[in-house]
This record gives sequence, C-alpha cells and structure tokens, in this order.
Amino acid sequence: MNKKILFVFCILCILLVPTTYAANNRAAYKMNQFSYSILQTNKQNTALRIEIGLNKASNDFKVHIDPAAPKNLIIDLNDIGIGNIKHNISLDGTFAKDINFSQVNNNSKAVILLPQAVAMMQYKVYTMAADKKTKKPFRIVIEIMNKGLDFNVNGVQGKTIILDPGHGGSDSGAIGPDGIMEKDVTFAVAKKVQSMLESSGAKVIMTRTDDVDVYGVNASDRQELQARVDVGRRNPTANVFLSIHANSFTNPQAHGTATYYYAKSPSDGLLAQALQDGMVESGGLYDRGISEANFYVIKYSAMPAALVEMAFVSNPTEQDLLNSNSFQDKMAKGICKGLSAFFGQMRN
Amino acid sequence: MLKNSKYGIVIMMFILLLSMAGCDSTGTTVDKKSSSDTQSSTEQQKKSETKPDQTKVTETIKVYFPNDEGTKLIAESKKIKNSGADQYTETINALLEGSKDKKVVSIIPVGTKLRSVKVDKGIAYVDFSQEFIKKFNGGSTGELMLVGSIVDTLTEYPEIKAVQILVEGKKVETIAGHMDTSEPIKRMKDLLKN
Repeated sequence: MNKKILFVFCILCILLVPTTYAANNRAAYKMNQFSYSILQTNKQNTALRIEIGLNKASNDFKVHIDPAAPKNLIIDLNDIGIGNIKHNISLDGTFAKDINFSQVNNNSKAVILLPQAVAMMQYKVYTMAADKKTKKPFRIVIEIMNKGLDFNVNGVQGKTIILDPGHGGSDSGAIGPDGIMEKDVTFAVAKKVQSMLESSGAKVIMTRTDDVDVYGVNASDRQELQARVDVGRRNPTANVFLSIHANSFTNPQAHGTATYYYAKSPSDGLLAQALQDGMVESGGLYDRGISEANFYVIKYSAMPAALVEMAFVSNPTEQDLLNSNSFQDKMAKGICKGLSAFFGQMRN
Repeated sequence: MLKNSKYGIVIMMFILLLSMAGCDSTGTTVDKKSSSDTQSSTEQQKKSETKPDQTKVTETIKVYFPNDEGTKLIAESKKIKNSGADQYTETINALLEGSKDKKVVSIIPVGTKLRSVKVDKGIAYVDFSQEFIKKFNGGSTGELMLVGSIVDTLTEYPEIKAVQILVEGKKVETIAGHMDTSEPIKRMKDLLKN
C-alpha cells in the first residue's frame, strides 16, 4: 500500500519538475543579474536605482499599477524568465521596501512594494545597453524618487521659509462632508511644498512634522498658536512665515482660493498677493482675493507672513480636490511659484 | 333698538380711539441712522415715550448676515422691542433668530444661547453659551463672518466702539483657530464692502 503511494508520488514529481524547469527555460530571455543602489540626482536629492540584468536585450516590458494595491509598482516582463535571481529581495526601505519576482509560463512579473501609494512617488523605467568594460549585461532600470523633485523654484536658494501646516493632532480643523479633515490636507500640501523648496536650495522649517499638536494636547488655543509663532521666533532670520489651511463655511456652496495677511509692513500684502496669484493660476479655482485679517499666527510672526486657504473643505467638490494627490501637487506648485515671485519682487 | 344702536356707536368710537392710540405708539419707530449729534436727544425722547407702554414701542435695527458665498456681510432690517438697556440683548437675539432670506446665511451655531450683553466704556461684552464654539465647524471664512456679523451688528450703535466675545463668561482666545479674539474687536469694515 505504502509502496504504491510512494510510486505515484515519484511519478508525479518526475512529471512536474521538468515542466517547471522548462517553463523557466522556454522564455526567450532570462534574468541574470540584480542590483540596487542609491544615487544622487542633484545637490539635495537621492533616488533608488534598481537594475535587472538580462542575457539579451529586450524591450518587451510594461509598467502598471493595480488600483487594488496602490503601493505596488508592477513590471510585466514578457517572455523573460526569472533565471537564477532570488524571488524576494529586500530593498533600501526608504524608497521601496522589497521586490518580488514571480513567473507564469514564459512571463515574469516584478512587484516593487513602496512605502506609500505609487501616485505619491515618482519613477522612471528605462533600459541600459550592455557594458563590456564594467562587465554589465543589458539592463532594465527602475528609478524611484520622491515626487516634485523635478520642480525647480527660482529665487528661493538660500532663503529660509517657515511652513505651518494648519491645525493637527487633537485639532482636526474643519471637517468636510465626507469626513476629510483640514489637518491632513494641510500637512500633505506642506510636505510637498517642503520637498519642492528644499530641492531648489531653500531651508524649510516645519512647525509640525507629523499629525501632532505643536504645543501639546492639553494646551490652550493661544499656547497652540503661539507655539507655531515661536518656531519663527527661534529662527529670526527666516524670510517668510507661511501657514497653510483649507477653508470652511456654513453654506457648502462657498468656494474658491483666498489668502490672508496682517499688514505689519508692505511686504505682508505683497507676499499674500504673490501666493494668491500662484495658487489661482495653478489650481484654477475661483479667486476670492487677498484680505487683511486679525489672525494670530500672521499677526504675531515678526517676518512677512501669510495664511493661505487653498479651497473649501466644506464644499463637496473642493473637498474631493483637496483630498486628491493631483490637486495637492497643483497647490504646492502654486505656493512655490508665489514664493518665487515674492522673492523676485523683494530683490528689485 | 334705538338704545342698542346708541351703545353700538359708543363702543365703535371707543375702539377707534384705542386703535389710534396704538398707531401713535408704533409711529415712534426710531431709525438708528440718525447722526450721533441728535442721538442723545432721540434717546431721551425714546425713553420718555417708552414709559407709558413699553411692549408696544418697537425700534428698527440693522443686523448683519453673511451672504451665501461668505464674501461679505449683508444688512437686514429687523424690528425689536425697545426696552431701554435691553436693546443690545434684543439685537443679538435678532441675529440669533437668523434670516428668512435665502441669499444670506444664519451663521451662529444652532443651539447657541445668549447669556448676556453688557456695555462698559464703549466696549460691548457679548457672552454666549458653549455651543458657540463647540458646534462651530468653521474655517477662516466662517470665523471671520461669525465674528464680523456680531461685531458689525453691535457697532451699529454709536456708543459701542468694539466688541469682546465671551463664552460661558470667559474671554476666548480664538473661535476656530485663526482669529485672535482675546481682545475687543473694532468694527470690521472690510466685510461691508461691495
């Protein structure tokens, strides 16, 4: 009885092994090398470069994103076998966590797991010819970098900007009809602005670098607002204090972009107008204009200061925009353009 | 029959007299637009008039509601009972009542109660219940319009130069995290521009 089972099992094994072996071998191309490295893309920024070597040159690959798994960057490698490459390889951890190879018949798939949605990052996929000198084969190259790094902001080099993502921690700020919180939107945009400014040579100081209260959970409102102003006090040479907010009104129809300033000097109004113009041009929403307002953080900040209200989180359409990566990018770019224009005016 | 008609005429004359008296008292409606020079005299006039029948004397006041886009404040006329010092309370209550006009927004959060309004040395201290802050989901625009509607409504009275907002009897540092409301706020003229 036992012998019979063993026999059947052996037969099955013999039948199976060659088929899987053949599947790996029947592909016209085969991977034969894998490496990754961190490269310096410019003065401030780095990127992750993944190189997959092939035995022969092939351009038959395709990149796609699965909406059900937005953190996965997927590369379909047609008629390319995995060869002797490890199936699961850990990556740097910052730009990507790991890469997983799998093969069905002659086609392979590489799944790169990113720390956040692929839409939040930027990537390039290209090929490199074999290099005899360095003994490198033909390679498919995948570069992954932070988004917005290619957006150059003129005239901010050497400037110091204090960025204040409105609200945070126990204070959600205004809440939209679908529950979108102002504090999350302001932080997402502030991070993008930070990245764009830093890659253009500016120094950025954030009043908060996470979803937290700046002073503390049980602080009074004034302590919380003063804590943000204090970030500026500790950096008295900073050129600009910029508070990023999303607006809200009792009537959900209210819409558009607005900027507020407290006229301590003529620079405050100039800064507000430049930011407003940048956001309206980039985001394309209704221009509510600039207004003076008795707002705490801009009133007590010694340097030119402005508080931008990108759009209304209380308006269903604008709430969806505020929550989308593409609109957040537009706002960040608009704000950077505004800062660039402001520093340009100051120089003249 | 003759007796009855006589009585009828007497009764009718009496009713006519009463209604005329009523007309007279409602006719004293005072327009607050009158210049500050004549204000003191009209105030006195009002007081003397209110004495005989306080409940029937009304005053037309201006209250401000934000427009539906939250870009400016719109004046609306309301009639309030003129009962001397309590006119400030009546005024804020008229604001709390809201408006029937669909083009303006009733901005004070539902459930907010007015605790008191006191005027001292040109500053009005308006005290609201805690719902004023707790039920308010405002951004910069909401906060500006909320504070603006109260401040601009009260500063319509020439004797009020600035407004200090209180909640449950205490000064509040901010309503929604933008405005500095720790000090009395002067008339917000920018919100009245067209």
